[in-house]
Amino acid sequence: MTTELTAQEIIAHCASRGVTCERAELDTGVWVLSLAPAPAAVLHRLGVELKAMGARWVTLEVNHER
Amino acid sequence: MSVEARIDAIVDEMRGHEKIVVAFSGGVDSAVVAALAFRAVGDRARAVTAVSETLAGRELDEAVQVATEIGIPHETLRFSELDSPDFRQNTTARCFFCQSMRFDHLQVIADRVGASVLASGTNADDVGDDRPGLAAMEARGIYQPLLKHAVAKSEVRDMARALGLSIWDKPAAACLSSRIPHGLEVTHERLKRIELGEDVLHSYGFRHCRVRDHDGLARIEVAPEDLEKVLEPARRDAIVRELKSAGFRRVVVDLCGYRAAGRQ
Repeated sequence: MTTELTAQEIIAHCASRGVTCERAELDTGVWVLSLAPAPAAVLHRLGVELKAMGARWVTLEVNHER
Repeated sequence: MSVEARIDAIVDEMRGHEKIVVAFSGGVDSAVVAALAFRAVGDRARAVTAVSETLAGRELDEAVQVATEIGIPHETLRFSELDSPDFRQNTTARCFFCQSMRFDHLQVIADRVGASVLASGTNADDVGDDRPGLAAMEARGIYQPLLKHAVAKSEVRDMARALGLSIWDKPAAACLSSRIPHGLEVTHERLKRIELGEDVLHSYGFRHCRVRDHDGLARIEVAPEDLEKVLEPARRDAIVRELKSAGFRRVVVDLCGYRAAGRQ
């Protein structure tokens, strides 16, 4: 059984993996992360880890000009 | 049992039916059943594609092409799942209502042509999943030869290849409403932008992909090995632009990615 994470926990976990997360916000049940550039494999691993920690959908914001 | 032996066993069984109507989506499973039925009873087999808002236009095009490739007589029927409030409500039982409507419409055609059975492409791997649509088929006595002969998805692909079907490795498509999380209403607007969004991803060469619709937020899923490709700046910007043109308010990429059932 997993529990929902907080934005601060997500940002801290990203930092522990060497990835800077500027912002993490929930949008209609989806975690949207603003991340500093990182290799795709690292991003994928982050997503898998955060999902295992309780975040159902973990995504990368790809549009900073919305 | 070899692939050829499995094919022979099912074809032999099908020869016991005078006429067969196959529910034909154009996917690998129903294509194999259609090819087997055509081999068993020739022109007395008929493939019928139920066309609705949840079937992407590209899937209908492929269904027509595959039916031609098989040589089986093919026709379409049109209906709308959106006519059903139970379907639109999008609960976990959504597939039950959809398949009930679909097979009731297909049965009308089966009755019209005097078919003794209406067949579907359900395979042995489908049973383990939570698929309320199967209950709708079982309640209607739908003939499911691949399931009856315990043919798993990977074996369906082997059979498709042995039967010479060009789509033997076609990725599973599934109904477009499956891209909308349960609890959010299924609407024409949402289905249309999902279809357009996935057309965009296909146009950039992504084969295993989905566009999930979270009330206007497009959550793109691509295979993990394609994550780098979708995030390449020029391509990413173009995809975002095109998905927004399709009607999405925000576009994000899922970090876990898409992993189709049955893929390693």
